[in-house]
Amino acid sequence: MTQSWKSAISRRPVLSGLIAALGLAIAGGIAFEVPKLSRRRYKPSPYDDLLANLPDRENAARIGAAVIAESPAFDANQTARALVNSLADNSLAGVVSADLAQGRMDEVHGWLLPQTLTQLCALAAKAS
Amino acid sequence: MKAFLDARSIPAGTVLDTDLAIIGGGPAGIALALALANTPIRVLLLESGGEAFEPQTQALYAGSETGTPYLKLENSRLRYLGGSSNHWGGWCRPLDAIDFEQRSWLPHSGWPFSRTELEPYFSRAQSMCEAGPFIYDDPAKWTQSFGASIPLGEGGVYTTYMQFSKTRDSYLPTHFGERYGGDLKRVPNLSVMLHANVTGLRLATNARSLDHLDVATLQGGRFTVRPKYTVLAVGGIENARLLLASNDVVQAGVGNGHDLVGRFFADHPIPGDTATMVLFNGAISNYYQQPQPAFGAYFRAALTPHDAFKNRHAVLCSLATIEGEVQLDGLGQSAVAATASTLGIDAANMRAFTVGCGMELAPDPERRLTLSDERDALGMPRLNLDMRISDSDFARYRDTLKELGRQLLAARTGMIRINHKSRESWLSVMDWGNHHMGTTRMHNDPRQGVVDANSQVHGVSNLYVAGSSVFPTYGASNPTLNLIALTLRLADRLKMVFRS
Ligand SMILES: Cc1cc2nc3c(=O)[nH]c(=O)nc-3n(C[C@H](O)[C@H](O)[C@H](O)COP(=O)(O)OP(=O)(O)OC[C@H]3O[C@@H](n4cnc5c(N)ncnc54)[C@H](O)[C@@H]3O)c2cc1C
Repeated sequence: MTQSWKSAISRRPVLSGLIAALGLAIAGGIAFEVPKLSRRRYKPSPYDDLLANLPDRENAARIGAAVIAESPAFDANQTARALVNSLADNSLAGVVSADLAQGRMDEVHGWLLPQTLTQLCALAAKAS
Repeated sequence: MKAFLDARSIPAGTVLDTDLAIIGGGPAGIALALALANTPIRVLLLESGGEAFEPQTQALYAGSETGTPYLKLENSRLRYLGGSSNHWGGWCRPLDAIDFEQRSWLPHSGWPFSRTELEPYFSRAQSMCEAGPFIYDDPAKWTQSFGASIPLGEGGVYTTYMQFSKTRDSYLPTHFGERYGGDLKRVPNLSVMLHANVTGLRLATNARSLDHLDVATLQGGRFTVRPKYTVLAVGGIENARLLLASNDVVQAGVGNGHDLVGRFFADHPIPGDTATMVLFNGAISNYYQQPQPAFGAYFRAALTPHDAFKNRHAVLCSLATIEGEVQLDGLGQSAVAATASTLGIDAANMRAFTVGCGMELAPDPERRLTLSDERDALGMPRLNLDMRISDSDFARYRDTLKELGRQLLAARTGMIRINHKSRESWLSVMDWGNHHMGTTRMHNDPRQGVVDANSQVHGVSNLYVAGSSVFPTYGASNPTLNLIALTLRLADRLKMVFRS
């Protein structure tokens, strides 16, 4: 009895420690996974690496749909290859700044947008 | 102070002699008459209307319009003392230096002198317009006191400042007849005759000088004025009409030996809602949207291309104004969200505005006034205006908007949507400035201009033209301040002519 009481006493912190550790692990896991879970899932596309540059892919895809409607001959693969090159060593912000400095702009339903952004938008639409 | 004369009381057949006849009592005629005050020159100013609107007199302005839809000729001006200043908007801005330059990419461009020639006259013209101190080119003055201008990346478009005519103690623009009527009555060497319609400029038989003027009243009176010199100042449309209709000695009309009178008509197209401008942080100084009182003037900002940009990209001048706030549609919201997030900008407070504009037209000889077969109540042939606007005029303005959009993005300030592409779309939002220019253009070469650099009609020694009809290239600035400056220059010329 004393023994069992003793052992009960001695086992209690171990158990609660284990439960706490498990709880922490689950909570940590959830905290780690939540953004992934809540982030919209897109069906895989060949342009996912490029599209990861877009902070707002839904709105970009809406613009992209307009781009494709205005230029039905839009060649997604060729555009993607060019973008992979230009974004290889530069951030999107840097490439967009260069577009603006050099006057590389596109008009989408009248909206004037930096060319690289327009192209990414069109890929986002293709991918969606 | 002496009263105005009334042509209706002049007996038929009278011949009046004077040193100088000024035909027309609008801003140009009034500015000239006052500039010649207290000189030994006896001046007679002949004005078609009275001191207020009269429908029968106004009807003399009716004509017909063909081609690109335009304003009705009788609605686009007013025919009584003060002329169209009786309903002008009071917007003032001097022409840009490039407006005077001959540009290889712009056929028929250039004045016979540079802007520096007009500079000595601007501040006097400004004070006649009652538009406050002449501080257009001093942006720091406005921005320090009234808030920052819209940040734009380096490039071709910048914020410029317009000033407004305002009658003393009012925000309403100066009506020249009302405002200067008393002054005109006080000038000892000036007589102003109302209800005096000049119906003919009669050349001497050798056609080298003007012999006399035919004057008629709507009551049937007819008499003659025999001036030593005459200045035609009846407005940008009517100047051409009087020259063309005076075709008894030279069949083509006075000053029209090279078929130029009435050609090159121009106005400023004022298309509405040309673009939508988004400002990511929603902040805008009031002076972009509404005239603001400051330094005894009213001023408002507009966006305009630099002269260097115009030359580099072959674009004409334009003055884009920011008007009311608008809501964006779904695509617009997506464009802003996608762009702002890519640029790393918080656009939660963004606001969107519609953009208006005053545009410059390229000179076009086929945009033209001609006499029609119709006649007015005085027997004068009426005019037909064949209006035209070319696709390249729209394309050039679009190029400026594109540059503005680029600069807004480069500065992380905002972005724009250009709202019109097709000709039909542009024409559907078209209005006009009522700024009639170009029909008696100035050029040193008589084959290319109706008047010379002194505003004298080529080949007619004693006939001059005042007003915006002499502008060979137009800029986008409103014309009145500039035409008054040019008229003050003409006054100096006439003083010299009379002295010699
Ligand atoms: C609605 C409107 C808004 C405008 N807004 C602006 C603006 O904001 N800024 C700006 O700079 N400009 C503006 N303008 C243009 C401005 O009004 C003209 O530039 C200016 O009035 C031209 O002056 P003027 O003396 O050359 O001609 P006018 O003002 O046309 O005066 C001509 C005079 O000649 C008289 N006349 C005509 N025919 C005869 C004849 N046969 N015999 C004798 N007399 C005759 C007329 O009665 C009139 O008094 C506007 C015009 C209109 C219509």
